[in-house]
Amino acid sequence: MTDLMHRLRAADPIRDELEPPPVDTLLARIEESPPATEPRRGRRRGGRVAGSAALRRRALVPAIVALLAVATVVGLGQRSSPDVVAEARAALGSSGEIIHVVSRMSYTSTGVPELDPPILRDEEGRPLGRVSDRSERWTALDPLRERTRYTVVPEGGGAPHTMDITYADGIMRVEQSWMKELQTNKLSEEKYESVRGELSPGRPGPDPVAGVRALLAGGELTAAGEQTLDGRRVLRLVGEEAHYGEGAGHSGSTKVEYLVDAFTFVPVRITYDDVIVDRGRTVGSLRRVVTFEAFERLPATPANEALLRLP
Amino acid sequence: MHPVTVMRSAEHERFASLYERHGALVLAYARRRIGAAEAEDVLAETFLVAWRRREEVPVDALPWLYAVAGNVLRNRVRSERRRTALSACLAAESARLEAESARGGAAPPAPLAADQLPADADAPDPRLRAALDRLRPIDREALLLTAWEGLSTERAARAAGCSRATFHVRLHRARKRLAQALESETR
Repeated sequence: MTDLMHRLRAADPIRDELEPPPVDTLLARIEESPPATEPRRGRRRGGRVAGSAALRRRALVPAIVALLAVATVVGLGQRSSPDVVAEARAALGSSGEIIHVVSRMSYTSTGVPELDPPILRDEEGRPLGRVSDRSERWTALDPLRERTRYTVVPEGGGAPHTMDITYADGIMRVEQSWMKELQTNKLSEEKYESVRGELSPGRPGPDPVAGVRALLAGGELTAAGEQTLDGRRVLRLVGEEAHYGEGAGHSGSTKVEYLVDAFTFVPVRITYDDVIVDRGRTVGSLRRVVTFEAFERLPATPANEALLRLP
Repeated sequence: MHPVTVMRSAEHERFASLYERHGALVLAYARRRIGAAEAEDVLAETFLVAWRRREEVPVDALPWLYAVAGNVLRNRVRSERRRTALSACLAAESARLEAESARGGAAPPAPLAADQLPADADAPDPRLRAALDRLRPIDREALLLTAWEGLSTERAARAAGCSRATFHVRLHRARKRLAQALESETR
């Protein structure tokens, strides 16, 4: 079979790097195009959905765009396949309590430009700011209820905007402080978890303790000693997620390092190291670091239950 | 300079840098699938989409661009199909009229080339190309993304718009089918 892939690679009709036309022609076309081609939240192609349904769907687009924007920032390189959804589900804590996690994501890279989070814009296309690298989440089970809060920091300073996403009773609600209208969408738990999987900081899932235990039990992480971090004893757990690039004649991998509290297993920091490969050549690297600022289990009292809903 | 102008110029710069990094690879992707004449159009359309959706372009942009280019190609195939269907209708109608007068028959329309690799007399290993042409497009694409575009399974999965596990299965199946197709070609 490997011979077959060698033969296939040898049959590539493009032998040398091609010379694309200069970018100026494209830029000229962009300049000539009317403002309607600018990305605008709330625009949707197709007119088959009519009336209030169309309005509702149009209103939801900014939220989804925002979600995708956050996913691009927060979830880069994370898997979103059903097995991850299952993992995340399995990693949730027990019912009767609320898990509260605050985390922060940072990046460093070589060879790949533009790591800044994208600028979010309002309905009129005016820039609002960038999504903060810090997010806060409250999760409860049976049935699944969840709220995640993101902050959008204006570029030129000023009061930050907030975006709250909640899920309960099969409905995802998005409230953005810059929009008057609350946006809602019916989603199955599975579909919602798939969206959330993209947004989750790191693979342990909403309950990092259960998540790390699951990864250890599954043999995905191995212990690599103990160390002290900011005066705290932490266990170092390492793993590697291989990508088998047989066809490309190379293989790559994401190296993962978990630093967890030596006594409670609460994750303190997760580092993902990726190598970016283009056509078999290493062109850069990307390091993502998720730092857990808080992890707590709250009793499901009425006051704490309120944290799961929009404020 | 007005802040909007500064922002636009920075966006143009980022776009130009994206094109510089990946333009040649996207052009090669298109050339392998549609031939030289139309490949530059596919390249331009792909990057115009990238401009319109510039805030969605991920850091690892290449698989995303391949996915867009694949959609552009498929749209072209659909348009071509509609155009060919119309031509075939017209041709059939004209053949029917001719047949009525000369008692002749119309030749069946030529099969669509768009679902196959472009004709290339200089392409190496014509037998392999013939075997590739016999595969379903989805299988062929899995093979080409890894072998010709040189993507790892994870990135190829992103370009194909499926999970890595799905892509793994697809690739495995495609390799088996290619081997079978080659075997029957050699018989």
